[in-house]
Amino acid sequence: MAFGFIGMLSEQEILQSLMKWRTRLSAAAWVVVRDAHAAEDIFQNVALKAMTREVSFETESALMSWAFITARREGIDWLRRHHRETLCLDDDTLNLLEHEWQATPSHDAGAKIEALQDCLASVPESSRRLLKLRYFDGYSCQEVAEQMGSGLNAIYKRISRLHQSLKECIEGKLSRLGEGS
Amino acid sequence: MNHDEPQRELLVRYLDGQVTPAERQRVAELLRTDREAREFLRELAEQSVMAADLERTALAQQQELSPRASQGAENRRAVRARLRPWQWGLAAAVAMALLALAAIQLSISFREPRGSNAFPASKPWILRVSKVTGSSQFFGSGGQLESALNAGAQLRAGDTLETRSCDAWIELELRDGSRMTIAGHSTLRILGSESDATRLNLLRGTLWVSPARRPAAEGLEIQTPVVVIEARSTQFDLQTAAAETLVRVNEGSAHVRRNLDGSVVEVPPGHQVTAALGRQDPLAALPQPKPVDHWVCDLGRVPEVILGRWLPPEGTERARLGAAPLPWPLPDRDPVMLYAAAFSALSSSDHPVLLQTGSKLVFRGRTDRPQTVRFGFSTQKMQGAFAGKFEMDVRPELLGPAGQTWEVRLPLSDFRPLQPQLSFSPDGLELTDVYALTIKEDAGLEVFHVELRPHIPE
Repeated sequence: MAFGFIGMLSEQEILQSLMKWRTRLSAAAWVVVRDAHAAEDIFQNVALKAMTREVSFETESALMSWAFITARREGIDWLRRHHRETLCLDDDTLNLLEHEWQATPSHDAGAKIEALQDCLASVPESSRRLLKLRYFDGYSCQEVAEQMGSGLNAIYKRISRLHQSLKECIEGKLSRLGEGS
Repeated sequence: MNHDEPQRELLVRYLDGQVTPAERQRVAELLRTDREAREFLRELAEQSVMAADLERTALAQQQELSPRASQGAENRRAVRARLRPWQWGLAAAVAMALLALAAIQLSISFREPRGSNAFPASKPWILRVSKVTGSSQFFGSGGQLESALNAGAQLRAGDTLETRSCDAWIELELRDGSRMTIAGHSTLRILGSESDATRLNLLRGTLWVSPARRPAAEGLEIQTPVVVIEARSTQFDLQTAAAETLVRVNEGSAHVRRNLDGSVVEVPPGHQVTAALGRQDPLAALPQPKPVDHWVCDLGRVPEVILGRWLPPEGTERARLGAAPLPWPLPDRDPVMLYAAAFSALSSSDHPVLLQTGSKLVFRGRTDRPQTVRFGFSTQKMQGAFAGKFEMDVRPELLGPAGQTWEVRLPLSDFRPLQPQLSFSPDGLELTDVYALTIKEDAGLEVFHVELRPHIPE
């Protein structure tokens, strides 16, 4: 049961914050589990816990600290269940990544996903297929290479370049969006 | 360090799991020391989850337009094509904050129009509702909110059930014929059904599991905030709060893993395991303790209070629990407001509390205004499944003048069974929780003392 203490985030504020940070929290979980669907499950579990737990949050940053830690724990637990513990980055690196995620100004999650959608519209169909096979269907790069009739090293190179170009494209669009508003 | 393309490729290979031990070391060093490398990794991770979101949304729309496309999608490898647009799935978590939902969905909307039923009905059901009693809510993974859940409803991955009143419970059936019951004030989320196991998450409350009476019972994995329980053909029950879980196995065995450190224990029949977030002691399966026939609820211990609001001490009454309002939805009618105080016997005693013919439930309390008070309790079979609820009403004239402390001693035989098909009499059953409430009117009900007294021959 939630109580509305003065100075504490309300349920609505908690939810709004989680939505705003949703991509980053899911991405933090993805870094641990490397499975987009599992990362989404973890984000939803984190949201569920935030809404049903009895402890209140004084600030958004307190909520986010808790949420990143919880997402990491859930991710590690998922790895254990799937016997993939060895995949996990060390704690120090995860701490750094999460710290930087929290310290970097956050765009609205919806704006960034729209920017990605726009950027994807401008890349070749084969690049969109590459992303889908790798991140939605969950194929390994070797399997992606086989499906696309390409060499493994070429796939690594293409994925690397694609992410970098999408990064620059997204940043450009978000920057223009910021100027426009 | 200038972050160049070979380093980005190394990170991509690392994420693919295709690096040598030496390269793994290089990646670790790179991420520790190079901010740009970390930035690339963070961006890659964000893009991967966003790309999957966009695919999910596109596929959901495709499914709505073409049933054949949905069938094709199901054949795809991987979870993978589970269609659960996150903003709808999160609705399951929203509970009371639903008012915020519409605004938030708008603020992060995709540009394609979303159907109101993006969640695909073609997903196979995992649990089916057999019976619902009392106040409950259903939060669908497709964004639905239902206050009146009906028998026959089929539940799928991402759906959440919440029983809200003391006298609520929901009986559920799994695809293999196994049955489970969730008690009042419980929240159960359906995570999915993968391989040969059904995965659930009990966030709080009590759940009983009775396996199918056949060798083909599927595996069951239940997560709580503290442990993960894996069982097959096992009759067990569990109670959980945010920081503590108790698992009792009555038939078969269960594999219990503590989330905190991954330690595991196999719980044989007749044994139980308790795990708490604040305790570091080894996880151990212990024989279930022998039952007791006398129980006094310690109102000073928070875990024993399921519902109510604390009031300041007054006179000799140091512990006063006031009834809290609780809306009780009714099908096709306006909800009825209950004012209830509820206490857990399971959480308060290390021993099962045995109900016997001749025993009495004693309540001490007060009402500010003359009002009938309904007293009730829930039971389970000793080392077994949910066994029903029992209630009785006490008219105001039997409670004495309003505003004065009363004490009622209620023989168990005077309580009426709400589910006589489960148990006609509480004799021999285990007490799980106790409650007192008024209906519609807030009579200022307060409870000071709850006790189960055994029959003492004169």
